[in-house]
Amino acid sequence: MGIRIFATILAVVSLAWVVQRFRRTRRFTIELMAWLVVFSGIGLVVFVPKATDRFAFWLGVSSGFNALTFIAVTTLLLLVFRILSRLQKVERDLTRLIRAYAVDTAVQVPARPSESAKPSASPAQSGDK
Amino acid sequence: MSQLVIVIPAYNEARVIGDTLARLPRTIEGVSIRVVVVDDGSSDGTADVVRACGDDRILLLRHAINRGLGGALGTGLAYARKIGADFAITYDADGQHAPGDIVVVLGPLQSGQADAVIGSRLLSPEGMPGHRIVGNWGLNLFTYLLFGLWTTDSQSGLRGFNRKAIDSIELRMDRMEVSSEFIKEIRRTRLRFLEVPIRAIYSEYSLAKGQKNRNGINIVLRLLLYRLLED
Ligand SMILES: Nc1nc2c(ncn2[C@@H]2O[C@H](COP(=O)(O)OP(=O)(O)O)[C@@H](O)[C@H]2O)c(=O)[nH]1
Ligand SMILES: [Mg+2]
Repeated sequence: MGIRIFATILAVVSLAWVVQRFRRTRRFTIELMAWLVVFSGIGLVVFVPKATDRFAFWLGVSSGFNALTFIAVTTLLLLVFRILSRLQKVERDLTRLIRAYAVDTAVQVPARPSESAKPSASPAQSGDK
Repeated sequence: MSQLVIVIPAYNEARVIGDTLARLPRTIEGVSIRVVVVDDGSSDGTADVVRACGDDRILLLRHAINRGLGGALGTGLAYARKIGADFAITYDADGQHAPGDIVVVLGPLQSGQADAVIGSRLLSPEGMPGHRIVGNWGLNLFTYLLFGLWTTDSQSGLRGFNRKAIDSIELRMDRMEVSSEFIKEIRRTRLRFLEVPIRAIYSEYSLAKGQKNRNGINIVLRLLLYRLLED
């Protein structure tokens, strides 16, 4: 079955990456744990399809694989949603930062020399502080 | 005398902004004029052109990096709020507005007839290309469906506000969607709103760089996302 070969390659490559990262950072983070859970899940479905069928029945879909696809899509959607709202917040904060700096460093454009030669006009500089 | 701040957002407009600034009205009955140019992280020397234009009514504010039209307008209005301006008018840098229309937008604010005014190109759409008209009506409809206020030109760059509006409008959208957000804010804060007919000057320059209808799709998507995430 193609999917077994595919899943095995994917799992081996990803696990190698996870292990390598763990060795580099020496920290067993939530992220690493999440990956382990995901790959154990994939392994379970691919190699022991029966195990997930009961869950599939409860969910109301016809097989364990369908159930997993359903969960994966839902999870991804939630993640995308979260990332989008994070991104929006980051962008907004960035704008606020850049705005504050721009307002504080406003510079008045100097009048044309011929005009500023008149006694009344003074050399212009950032006012409004 | 009351103070009018003309807010000009500018992104890579070095070629035309000198001309736009030079054509601004010298004086307007009953107000003293301040011009706030917000250089939105331009890379073409827009700020140098502004600095060299020799008009000391102009203040130059610079965004260290590009934040988009909404970001730039928000900065200009924040400045107007800070100096306690009585009126603020937003005015595009690319020369697509007729300088004489500034008083047209200002009029209803000065007379106390409205808190917020939008200069509508579609009340007299001569010269506006057909595909623009269609795209614009699409966005008008969409803006109405999302925010519940009907305008004939939801994407106009020429808008006017009195102090009450300057103080109460809160912009959160950084890009072109801000035009629709103004309308949402006008409705949310229950400002008295009026549309006045203005002219649109469609030069080859402003057409080439202005909003394509593809941009319109982006605006629609961002507005939808905004509704989803904010409310
Ligand atoms: N396109 C663009 N315009 C910006 C940006 N920031 C400020 N602006 C200014 O917003 C105004 C309107 O932009 P324009 O592209 O002509 O849009 P349109 O006239 O609504 O089709 C111009 O004065 C621009 O210089 C930005 O990030 N992108
Ligand atoms: Mg334009």
